[in-house]
Amino acid sequence: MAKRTFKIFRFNPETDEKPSYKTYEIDVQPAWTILDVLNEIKWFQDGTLTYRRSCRHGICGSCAMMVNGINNLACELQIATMKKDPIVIDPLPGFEIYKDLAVNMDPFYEALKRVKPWLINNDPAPSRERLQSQEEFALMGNSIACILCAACTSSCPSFWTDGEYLGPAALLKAFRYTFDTRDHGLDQRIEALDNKHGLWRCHKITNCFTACPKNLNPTEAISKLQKRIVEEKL
Amino acid sequence: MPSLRTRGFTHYRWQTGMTAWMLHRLTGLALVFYITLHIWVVSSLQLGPETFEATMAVVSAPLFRFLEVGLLFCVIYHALNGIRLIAIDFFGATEKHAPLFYGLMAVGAILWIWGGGTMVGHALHQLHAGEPFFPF
Ligand code: SF4
Ligand code: FES
Repeated sequence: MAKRTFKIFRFNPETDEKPSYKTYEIDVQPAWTILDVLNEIKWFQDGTLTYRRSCRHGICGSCAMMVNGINNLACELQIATMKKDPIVIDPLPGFEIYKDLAVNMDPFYEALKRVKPWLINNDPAPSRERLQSQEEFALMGNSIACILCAACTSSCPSFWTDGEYLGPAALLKAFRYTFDTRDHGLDQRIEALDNKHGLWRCHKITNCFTACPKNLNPTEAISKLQKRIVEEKL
Repeated sequence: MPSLRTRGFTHYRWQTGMTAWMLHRLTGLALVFYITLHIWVVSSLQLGPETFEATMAVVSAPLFRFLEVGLLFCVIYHALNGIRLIAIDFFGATEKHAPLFYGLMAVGAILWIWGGGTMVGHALHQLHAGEPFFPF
């Protein structure tokens, strides 16, 4: 057990005028993650702390937050890998704050809906599944592994200044379907993509790439999608 | 409720990519400012050779030599980071973008010290010959 210090962002819009940080000293077990620390605080020390979590093994995407200045999943980030003390925990930037570490994710889901993240194909369905070869599958890369945690979108300066910007997660989804050989929906998505809150707001800042806890690469997906849209328009 | 939407600019870590982007913006703005000034200076040619000569005398004063060292920085930075952006967009270099940035910046530093050194040398020469630092 080792004592570590955590500086946690606290803000209750009903009672506080301004956000502040509260410091907690916690005895950390060797294999603890940031989420274990938050649970320790909420369950045993200060029940007023608010944050989101569900699966606690990196698959539901609920627990994304900013730790020491970089977005990550609280349930995947091991305390032992962090030398710096205190460890600073903030809510995801770019979103309105509900309370403490819980933010309003509505703009994130709105953006996602705008790119129609489902298979669009009006051909009559075959009797079994729509087959793909290994090579066709490879075109989508690992983009199918996105857990929609919003770590990427919330790390993007273009999103901080334009809350309607689709953002890397929605654009990665658009990439995933556009480069799916079974999908025929580009003409239905192009309006949302080729728009001032769309594709062209990406300046290849690469914060999304460094933030993604699943090691996906939204930056590269956006570049490919941009090229595809230009080809489509020519 | 206070607007906390842009607190990323003050609280998110300034990693290589975000810093490179901000510098790209700032040097870009500086270049737009310079080009405007440049066109304005050169347009004095319309007012006849004397006016042009007089304007040129102002802008070749030591002060402007030093400013040009800053201009050289902007040109070199903007061009080299532009190469990095092309590499990201067209050659899938996202995963290598940081080492690429530092490599290009090393090249840029050599170019800047080389070119800037020559410019500073020239300005010192002018000052030595008794030219005033400020042209006005
Ligand atoms: S791309 Fe990565 S960071 Fe972005 S929502 Fe998906 S899993 Fe999260
Ligand atoms: S709690 Fe599900 S991803 Fe962290």
